[in-house]
Amino acid sequence: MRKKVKIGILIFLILIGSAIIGNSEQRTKMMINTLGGNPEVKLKVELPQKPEKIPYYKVVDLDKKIYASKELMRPVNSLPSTFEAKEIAKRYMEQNGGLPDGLILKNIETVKLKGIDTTTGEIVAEKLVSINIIYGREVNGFPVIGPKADAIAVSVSKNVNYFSKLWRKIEYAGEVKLIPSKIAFEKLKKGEIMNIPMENARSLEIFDIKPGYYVGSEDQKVYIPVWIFYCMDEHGNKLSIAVNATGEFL
Amino acid sequence: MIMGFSTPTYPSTTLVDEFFKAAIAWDWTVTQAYYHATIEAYKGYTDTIKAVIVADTLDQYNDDHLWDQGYTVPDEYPDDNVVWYAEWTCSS
Repeated sequence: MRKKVKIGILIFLILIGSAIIGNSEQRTKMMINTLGGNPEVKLKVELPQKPEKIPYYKVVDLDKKIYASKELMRPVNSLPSTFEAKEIAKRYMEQNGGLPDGLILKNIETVKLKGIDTTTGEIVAEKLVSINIIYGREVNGFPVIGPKADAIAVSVSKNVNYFSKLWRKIEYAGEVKLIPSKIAFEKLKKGEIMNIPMENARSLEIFDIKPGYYVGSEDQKVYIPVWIFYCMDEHGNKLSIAVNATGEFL
Repeated sequence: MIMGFSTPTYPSTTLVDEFFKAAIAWDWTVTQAYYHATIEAYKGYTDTIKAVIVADTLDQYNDDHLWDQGYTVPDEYPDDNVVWYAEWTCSS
């Protein structure tokens, strides 16, 4: 019975949290508190002058796949090496639609389940779970980011036990001028950004700035050109903040 | 069970939608449903976003389901003061 109550409370908290976050007024406040006009947004790199334009792409198809086995996230006695796990993931992709263009390995890690003594904080047991691999996409060297950006996640233990793919077929649709990065930086300081982090950092240091593309929803018809500001907060957390960079179509 | 994040993240309705889809429509365990939801919500982000799940017992971590969606694991008694903690990166 206590369990049902606990799960009920958790669901309630998730729903309330979503409702609060979904409120646009709250979002605006969050932007202002976090980024807009925040004097502690510090530039640690030069604002790039180039490129002045990038290719523009429209989306012509969407490939979405999800597979999971019953072994997903369950402890196992042994795992393949990270090299072997990458090969297993690659073989799986080759057998399920092929390796997509622009696939970039972004993260690979071993997931472990830890038993922790709550009275001492000591780790008293450790079990292997899986090797998780996440791939992202670059188009002509420009990263594609955002909540619904093209990406593939694979979880491997002995075999692939989870596979999630969201990948678009895109078509070149001309060139678009980028707004100058200086103007994009001003927009960032005002909170005019594409993605609003749940972050209450007191300072953000921008350590890199690159053009790229932003995809916010599955039904988005084009890749939106953005300037991506790669930041780090005072706790060492990395954030990628996108500012719409769409200028004149050429 | 407690589900959350150990890093800053982004608001996402996908997180909630996918969690309940997997836990209720597909009858996945709570751990599997949360893992899936975090991957679906954040795999496109290039920030470091790490999800966390904490269970009181190993059985709860492995087999607990939402009520009426499969086996539900009893509460631990007596308490052994050990919790089970897993963390994974769900962003790219």
